[in-house]
Amino acid sequence: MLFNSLEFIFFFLIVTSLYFILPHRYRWMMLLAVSCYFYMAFVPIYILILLVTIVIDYCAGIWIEDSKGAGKKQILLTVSILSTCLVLFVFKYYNFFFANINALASALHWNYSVEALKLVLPIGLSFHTFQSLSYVIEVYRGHQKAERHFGIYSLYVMFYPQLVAGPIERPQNLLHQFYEEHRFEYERVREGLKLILWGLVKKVVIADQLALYVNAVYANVDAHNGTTLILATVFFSFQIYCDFSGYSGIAIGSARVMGFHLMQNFNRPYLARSIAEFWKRWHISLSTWFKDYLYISLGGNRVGLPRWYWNLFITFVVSGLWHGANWTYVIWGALNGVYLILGVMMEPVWGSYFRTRAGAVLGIIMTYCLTCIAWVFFRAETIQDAFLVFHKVLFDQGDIFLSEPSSMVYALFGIGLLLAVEWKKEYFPDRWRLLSNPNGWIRWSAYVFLIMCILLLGVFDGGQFIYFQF
Amino acid sequence: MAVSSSIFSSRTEYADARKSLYKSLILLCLVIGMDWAVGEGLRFLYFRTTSGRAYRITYALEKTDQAALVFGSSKASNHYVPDVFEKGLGLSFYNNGEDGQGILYALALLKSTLKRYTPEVIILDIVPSDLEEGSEFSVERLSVLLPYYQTRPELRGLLESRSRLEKVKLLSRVYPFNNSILGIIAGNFEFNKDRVGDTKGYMPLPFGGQIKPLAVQEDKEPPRQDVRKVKALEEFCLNAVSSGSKVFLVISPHYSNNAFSAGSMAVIQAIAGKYKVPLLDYSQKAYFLERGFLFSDRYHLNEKGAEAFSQMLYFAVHLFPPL
Repeated sequence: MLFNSLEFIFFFLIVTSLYFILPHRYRWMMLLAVSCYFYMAFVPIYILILLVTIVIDYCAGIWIEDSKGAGKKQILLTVSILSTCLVLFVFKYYNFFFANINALASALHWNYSVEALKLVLPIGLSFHTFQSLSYVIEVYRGHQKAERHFGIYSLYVMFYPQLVAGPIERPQNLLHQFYEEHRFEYERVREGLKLILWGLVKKVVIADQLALYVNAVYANVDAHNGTTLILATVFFSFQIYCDFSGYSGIAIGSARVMGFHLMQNFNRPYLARSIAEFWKRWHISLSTWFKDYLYISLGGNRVGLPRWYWNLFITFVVSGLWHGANWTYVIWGALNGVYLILGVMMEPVWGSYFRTRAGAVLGIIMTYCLTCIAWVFFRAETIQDAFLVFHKVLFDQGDIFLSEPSSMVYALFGIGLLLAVEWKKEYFPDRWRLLSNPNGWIRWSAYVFLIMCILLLGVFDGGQFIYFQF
Repeated sequence: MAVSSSIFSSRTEYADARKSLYKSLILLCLVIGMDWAVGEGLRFLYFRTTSGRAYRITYALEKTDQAALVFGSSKASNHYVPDVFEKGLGLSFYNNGEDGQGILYALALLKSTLKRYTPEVIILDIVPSDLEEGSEFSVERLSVLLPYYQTRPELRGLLESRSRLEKVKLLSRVYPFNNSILGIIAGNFEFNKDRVGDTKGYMPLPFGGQIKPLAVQEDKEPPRQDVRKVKALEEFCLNAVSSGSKVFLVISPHYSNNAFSAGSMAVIQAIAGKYKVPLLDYSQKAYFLERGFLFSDRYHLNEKGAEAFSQMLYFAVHLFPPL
């Protein structure tokens, strides 16, 4: 079930009403049941994969907590991580891994070949795998008590708002909330609904409208000139942001209405003044996951300079691989790692300039441009396509491709609306408020305006969210 | 208060819930009112358009009276030159082809046309890959027909099948005009007429420069047929033949060394055979494959190519009695 479908609106209304109607002791059961239903709306049988992950990490958590010796805890943690990652490997990386092995064997003239598996990637597998892993690691580190209630633990992994595309929660933030009784509070419900409304606008009015152009151009890179490809890449940068942050907004809002607080996932990333800052504002739940569980485990910045650079680089390469089993994602991650290392190296030279007002503007523009360069790898189907994009951008300029002039106008309207909102929130958070304006006329007009935008300009056949595939 | 006290644990919670319900109802009323006002405004303007897609579709659904009609996708609208057919066949001709539409749209148009009159000749330009699962001409694209949901009952079944909750969505007055506001506005102004070079539905394309034909692709898994579209093609043939029109299925040229999939071709041949409809396949015709300059892109002929193809086709159509 997609957040941008009419089915979800009915689902949300029924689930939220039931949640407040039911006594507290039954709520977790209802939430678990509807989360299962929500997940099974995609590929029903894949719930069994999720169940395997849940059982592994539920048992591992308890055994880790109950075992005495540090060595035994470590073995249990390793077994748990490997088992959970094995599921991820089989479904997500097996074909990629063996395709590369086969290619290598063929290049070396070895007679070796492994058949590809015909498996469909379970939706959101990387998200719930990482959420599950964060639980066992936190139990191992002693930051979280093992959850003995199997139903509550299952709900921690399966909580429907963040089941298929995050935010990737930490047990310390989410688990205890299932035990708390949430009362119906008007202000909180309103806040949640506003998040959902803005999330829907971002997804169906902006992201899906931009997708029409981006998909048409990137599906046939060969046929388009550099000017068109630059525009398509700029559009893609907004598409992916609105697609994913729109999803996160709906997820956080749906949970907020019921009284749950999920972590913020985006914080106006395109207003970041450096790549380091960008990664503190983009997909925050994943960035902090990698920071907490990989980067710091590798030694973080408390090591020698070369090792620190290596830690940064490898963290981003793995982050790229997390996004998809394709070399394009690996390069995208590596490129971001290189950006970050260069940022660290240049900090003593340019750091003070970028803290001035002019430097901040330049920093925002530079960061955005660097991010767009990296997005080319993220969006291109193959590495060859990505390099073809760069080649065309440098050597083949021409007229901009316009398939439907009206969709270009809608796309530009969407970007304009987004930039205006983001700029206001960043620099004037207390001025020109619309959805939170104390004047009821302004506030209600803003609600109706956004709903009408969805009805008039929304793309209802836009399909699923980009990040579901990860 | 008895019910409320069993659900809500405090008076504040109950008051909050009541306030939320009350405000939600106000918002709902506001949205319904706005939806009605904007939707009706758009409907009024939509049916007043004098150019653009809205005008073309309204004409095709409600105003055609020509003796010969062609149905199909952009390949139809770009490949069939009405003047050539009119001169050759001695019949009035209109090109009903529409960009990005396939057999489902053609069926919808045919149903509406046959409710009004029976053309003498019906040509369906079929793209065999349209009958395959995952084809780009999806049922969602029938959204261009949503403005006619209220007024043309013969389209309702097709339109309601777009999604499970389509009937609910169609309660909104704005929804049928989703994403068409600019087109409606432009279609109401004269300046737009200069932009659209539409002659009896035919949209000529310019020379496309040096294009290479699509290379022969390696054997892929044979695509599966989309049952719904196969049924639609069958229904199209059945309706057209039953009406007494002379019906032709045509596969027009494309600049590719790949033949269409055997599965789709077999389905088309079987349906054509069943209803005794002549099938004229120009997709692998050497005349076009050897002349890249006749194409605007790999899938569409340019103006010159369209003239050549129309000449060829009218002659073939003319040979079939009783014309």
